[in-house]
Amino acid sequence: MSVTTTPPITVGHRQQPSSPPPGSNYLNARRGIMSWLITLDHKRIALLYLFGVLGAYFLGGVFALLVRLELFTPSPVLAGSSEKAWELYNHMFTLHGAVMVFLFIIPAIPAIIGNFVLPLMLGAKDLAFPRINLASFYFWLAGGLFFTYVLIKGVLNFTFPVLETIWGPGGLDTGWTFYTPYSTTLTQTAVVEATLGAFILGFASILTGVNFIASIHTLRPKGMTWFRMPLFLWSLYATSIIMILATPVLAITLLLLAAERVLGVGIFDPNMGGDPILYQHFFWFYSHPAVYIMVLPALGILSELISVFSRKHIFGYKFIAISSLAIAFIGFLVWGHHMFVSGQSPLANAIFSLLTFFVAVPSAIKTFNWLATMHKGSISLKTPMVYALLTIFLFVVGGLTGLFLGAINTNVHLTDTYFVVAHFHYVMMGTVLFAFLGAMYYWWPKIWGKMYNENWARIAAIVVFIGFNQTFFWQFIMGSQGMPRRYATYSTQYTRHHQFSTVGAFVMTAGLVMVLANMVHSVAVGRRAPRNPWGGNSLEWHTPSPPTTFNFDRTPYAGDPYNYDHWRYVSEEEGYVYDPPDSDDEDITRP
Amino acid sequence: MFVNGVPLVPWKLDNMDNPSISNQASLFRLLPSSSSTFAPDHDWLFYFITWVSVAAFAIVMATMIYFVIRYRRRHPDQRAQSRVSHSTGLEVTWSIIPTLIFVFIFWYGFKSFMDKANPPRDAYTITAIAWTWGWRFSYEDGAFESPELYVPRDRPVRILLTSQDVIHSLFIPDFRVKKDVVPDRLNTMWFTATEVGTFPLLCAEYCGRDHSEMLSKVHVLEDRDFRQWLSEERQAADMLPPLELGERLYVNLGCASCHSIDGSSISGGGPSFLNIFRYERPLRTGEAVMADEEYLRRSILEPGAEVTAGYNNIMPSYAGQVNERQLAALVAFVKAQSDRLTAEELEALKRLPEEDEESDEDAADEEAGDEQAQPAEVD
Repeated sequence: MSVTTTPPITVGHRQQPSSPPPGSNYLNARRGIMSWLITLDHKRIALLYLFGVLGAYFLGGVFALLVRLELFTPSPVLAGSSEKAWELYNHMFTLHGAVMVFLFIIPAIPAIIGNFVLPLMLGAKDLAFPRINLASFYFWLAGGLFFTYVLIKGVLNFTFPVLETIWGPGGLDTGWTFYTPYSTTLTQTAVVEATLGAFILGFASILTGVNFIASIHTLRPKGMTWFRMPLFLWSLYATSIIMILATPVLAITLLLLAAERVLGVGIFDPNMGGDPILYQHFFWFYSHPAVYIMVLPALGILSELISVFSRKHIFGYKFIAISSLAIAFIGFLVWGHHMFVSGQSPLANAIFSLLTFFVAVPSAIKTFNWLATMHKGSISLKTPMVYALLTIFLFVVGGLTGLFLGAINTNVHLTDTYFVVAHFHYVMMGTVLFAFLGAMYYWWPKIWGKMYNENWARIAAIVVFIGFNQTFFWQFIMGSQGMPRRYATYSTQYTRHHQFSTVGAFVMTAGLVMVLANMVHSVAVGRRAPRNPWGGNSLEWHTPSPPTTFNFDRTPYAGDPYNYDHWRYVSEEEGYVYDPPDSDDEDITRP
Repeated sequence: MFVNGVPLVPWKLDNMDNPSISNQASLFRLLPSSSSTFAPDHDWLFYFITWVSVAAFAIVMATMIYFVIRYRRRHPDQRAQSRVSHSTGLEVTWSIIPTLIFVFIFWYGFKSFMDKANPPRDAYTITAIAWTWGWRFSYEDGAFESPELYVPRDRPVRILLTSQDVIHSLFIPDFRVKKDVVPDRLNTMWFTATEVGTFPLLCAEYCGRDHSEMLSKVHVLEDRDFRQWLSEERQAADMLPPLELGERLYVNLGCASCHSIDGSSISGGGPSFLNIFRYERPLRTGEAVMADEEYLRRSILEPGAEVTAGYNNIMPSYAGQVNERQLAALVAFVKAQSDRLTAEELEALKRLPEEDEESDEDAADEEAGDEQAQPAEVD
C-alpha cells in the first residue's frame, strides 16, 4: 500500500532555489506580530510553544548547572555560609525539577512536535479545535509566568531581604513534589504561587489532550484506518488520554495543598487531623502517569525515525500501537511504587511491584521491534537516526535500571538515592530529550523549509551524548553506595563521582549550544529543504516544505505510512520524490 | 562512647564518611559493606539484576551496531533487503522471555522484602525520633536517649519511627534498610546487624535546609558491650544532677541546632540561650515578659505561646516528649546561661536534689567524672 496525495508530483520536479514568494507558505502567509500572537494555525502555535518551551528549558538548564556547581565540592560553593548555600541549593534543585517537568518535558513533544505534525500526518487543515489550541498556549504561558514570578521574587528577596516583609516569601524549596507537611508548614517560600502555576499549566495539558483526541477521531483522512495511523499518532493518542484523566487529579491535589496552606483546612497536615501519605497517593496518581506523558511520545518518534531511516516497514506495527495504549492504562496502576518505604502495606507494595513489571514488558518488546525493523533494512545515519540510536541506548539503560527499582527489596535500598536520580534522568532526560532533538532534526526541514548542517549536527549529538553519560552514569554508583538525593553536601567518598558528573554537565551544555547554533544558522542561511529529504511516507512528506497555511491543496487519501516503495532519490533534488508506477493496482489510492 | 565526650553537634561533615568504604576504593564499588542479615539476599538480587541488565544491554547494543554496519545505506536510493514486517513466533518469544525474567525478579524482590516487613517478636525495641534536623534514639521505654544509635550484634532490633515535624527517612546503607519517618504515624523497621563497627545513618527524605547534614551513626556492639552501655546510660540518666542532665539533653534533643549558648543567632533557628533568665523578653506581639522559670517551661511545652520578637515559631512542642525531671533539667540548663543567676543558685543546680544525694553520690561522681572538666559554658 502506498499513499497518494495532492498535488500530484511529477517525476523530477524541482523546487526553485530562490526564496519563496510571499504567501506561499505558513511562515510568510501573514506578517506582523499579531499574526503570530493570535494565530489559529497549528504550525504557528507549535512555534510559539517552541520558543516558550525552549526558554523554559534554558531556565531549567541554568538551575541544573548551578546544582552541579554546588555539588562540585562538599563544602559550600554558591554562598559563603553553609546555611545560605544549602538554602540556595534547595531552591535550585526544586526550580530545576519544577521547570523541567511542568514547563519543558510535559509540553515538549506533544505541544511542539505534536502540534506541528499531528494535523499534517492526518492530512488535515488544522486540529479539531484551533481556538482551544491557541488557548492552551496561553494557559501554558500564564502558568510559566507564575513560576517566573516565584523565581524573580526569590531572587529579589535574596538580594534585598527587606522585600520579604512587604510582599511575602519568594522562591521555592519544597522539591518539585511539594511533599506535605514540609510544603504546608515548615517552608518559608512561595508555595501557593507555584502550585497555582502548576494548576494553570494543567489546563494547557488537558486542552491539548482533548484537541488531539478529537482530531484523531474526526479528522483522519479516507484510507487511514486506526491501524494505518502513523505510530507517532498512536503514542499521542495514548498520551492525550493520560493528560485528560490524570491532570485533574494533580489540579485538585494542588488546590487542596493551597487550601491547607492559606485557609488552614486540615487535609494533609497531621497536626490538623490530616494525612501526609494521602498527599503522596494523590500526587503520584498524577505524576507517575505523567512519566508516560513524557516518554510515550518519545517512543512514538523512535518508531517513525527508525522505520524511515531503515527504509523498511516498521516491525510489529499492531503490537507497538496497542502497547502504547496498554502502557497508558497500566501506567495508572503503578503509582504506589514511589512509596515502597512510606509505610504502605506489604500487600499494596506487592501489587504495585508486580504491575510495575507488567508495564515494563511492552517497553522491552518495543526495543526488540525497533531492532527487527533495522534488520535487513537500508540504514542511513542522518542526524535524526543518530539521535534515534542514541535514544535506544539511553532508553535501554534507563529501562534496565528500572528493574532494580521495581523489585521491592532492592528498591528499599535504592529509593531516594542518586540511583533514582540517574534512572529517571536516563528515562526522562535521556530518552525524551534525545527523541525530541531527533524529532526536531527530522521535521526541521518541514518546519522551516531549510536544511541544517548535517556534520555539525552529528558531532553535536555525540558531544551531548558523551556529556549526558558522563553526568549521569556516576550517579548510579553513588546511589547504590548509599548517597541520598537532594543532598547539598556529601561524604568525601563521593567527591570524584560528583566532580565527573559536574564536568559532564558542562560538556553536555557545550553540545546543546552547538545544537542551538546549528539551528539558528540553518534558519538564517540554511540550504532550501526539499519536500521530502528523508524518504518518509507519512502524509506530511507529501506537502511542500514548509507547508501552506492549510497544509494540503486538497484532502489527501492515506495508505500505509510505512511503505517506502514509491519514493525515489533524485540527486538534483537532494531529496526523495514520489514516483508511483502508472498502473500499479497497489498504488492507486486516489479516489 | 558518648559519655566520654559528646560532640556538641553530632552530625557535622567530618562524621559523614562511611568507614566501610575507603575513599580510594569507592570509584567503581557498587554497594557498601554487607553488615546486616538482610544484605546477602538484597545483594544477590542486586547482582542478579546487574548481570541480567549487562547481558541484555550488550545483546541489544551489539545487535544494533551490527545492523547499522551490515545494513548501512551505501547510496541514497538503496532499498531494504527484506519486506518482513511481523513474525508471530518471534514476537511471542521475545515477549515471553522478558516476562519470565521479570516475574522472577518480582518474586525474589517480594519474598526477600517480606523478611524486612515482619520483625520477630523477640526483637529489642528502640524508638527513633526525627526532627529538622537531627535524630535521637530512645531506649528502655524512654528511660534515656542517645543522639547516635547503639545496637547489639546478632540480635534482632526493631525501631519504631516517629517524627516531630515533617517527613524524614531513616536510611542505613550498610544494612540495606530504609523507612520513612512520618509525623503522626508509627512506622517500624528492623534488622539484625552482623558486624561490629560504626556505620552512617542518614535522612533520605528531603526535609529542608540541613537535610544533607541530618546524619547520625549506628554503633554495633557485641551483646555484652551493648548491655554494659545500656546500664551505664540508664544509670547516668537517673543519676545526673539537673544542670548536667540539661546539658546532655540540650545536645541529644537537638536544641543546639537552633539555640546557641554564646549569644550568636543561628540562621533559621531561635534565640540564643545566653542571658534569658531574669531578663525582660520582648515578644512578637509587642509586649514584654520577664523570663522566669514558668516562662522557660512554657516556652518548651508551648513554643508558640510567647514568641520572642524577631523570630517565627518553627519549634515543635516538647509536651509529652520530655518527662518532668528532664523538663526541670532543661530549665536549669537555660538558667545557667544567665549572668543574673547567683553563684549559690548555680552551685545548687550542679548538685543532685537532697534526698538522692546521700545514697547515689558515689555513682554520680563516677559517671560525671571526665565530663565535668570540659563544659566551659556552664559558668
